[in-house]
Amino acid sequence: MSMNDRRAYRSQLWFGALTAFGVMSTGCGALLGPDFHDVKSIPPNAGIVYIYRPSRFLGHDTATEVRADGVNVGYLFSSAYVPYYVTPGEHTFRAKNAVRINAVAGQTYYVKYTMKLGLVAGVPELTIETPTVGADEIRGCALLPGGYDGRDRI
Amino acid sequence: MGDRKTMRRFRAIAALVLLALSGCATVEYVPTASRQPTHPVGFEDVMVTYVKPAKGYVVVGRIETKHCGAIDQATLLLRRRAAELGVDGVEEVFCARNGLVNAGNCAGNAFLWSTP
Repeated sequence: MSMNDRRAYRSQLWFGALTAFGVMSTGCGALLGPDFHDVKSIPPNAGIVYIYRPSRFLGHDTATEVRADGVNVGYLFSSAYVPYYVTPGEHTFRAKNAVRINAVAGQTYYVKYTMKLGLVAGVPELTIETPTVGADEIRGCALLPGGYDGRDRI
Repeated sequence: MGDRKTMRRFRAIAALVLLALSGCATVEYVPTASRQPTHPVGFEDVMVTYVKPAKGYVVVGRIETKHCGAIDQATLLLRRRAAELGVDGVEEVFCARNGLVNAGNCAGNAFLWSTP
């Protein structure tokens, strides 16, 4: 290999590395909104449901749709949460499975989204979390930018 | 000599690829009604939905994002712009899916509630 060939090879390596860096810095990982904090106030005659996905390595690069009463509230990325206002009564939250909450005005509920091992790909699972565990786990999450909070339905 | 030309071409293409990938995202607002928002609102006060809101609202303009590369980045920009404008929300947001060439190109109707 001549000197010129070596230079050309090195130069190509540098550009390859830079391009790869560019791709990784823009294309990977979800961009989230502000870190978790409680909603300013719960409107009268409404409850609040926090749907959150704790940070886990398993399936972190995939996001699936979560539906609240049939409406898409967003594609829940790892470390993301969506606050969702509900009227008193029964509400259904669905990813692959479904969970039901019988909401009471002024109460706070937590629905956890986790990714379980599947045969080919990860399978999303929703579970209702206790207020103590939910409030603790949601601390590491940030608001999902495109999330829908259902304020127009209360 | 031929090698140098190839290298130059290679550099030019690499530079273009980097430019395209690094932060050329744009977000544009087009007013479509005479009633317009007057004050900015908080990022989290803006409602973003892929469907029509369930209570009365008035469409005041259209917000579009381009060259974002991914839906989450596009909706983040969309929500930030909506907060700056002071609209109550963006409804019927439609985005090109991730993985497509125009991924992250989103558009939605900016609206104000009919009754605050």
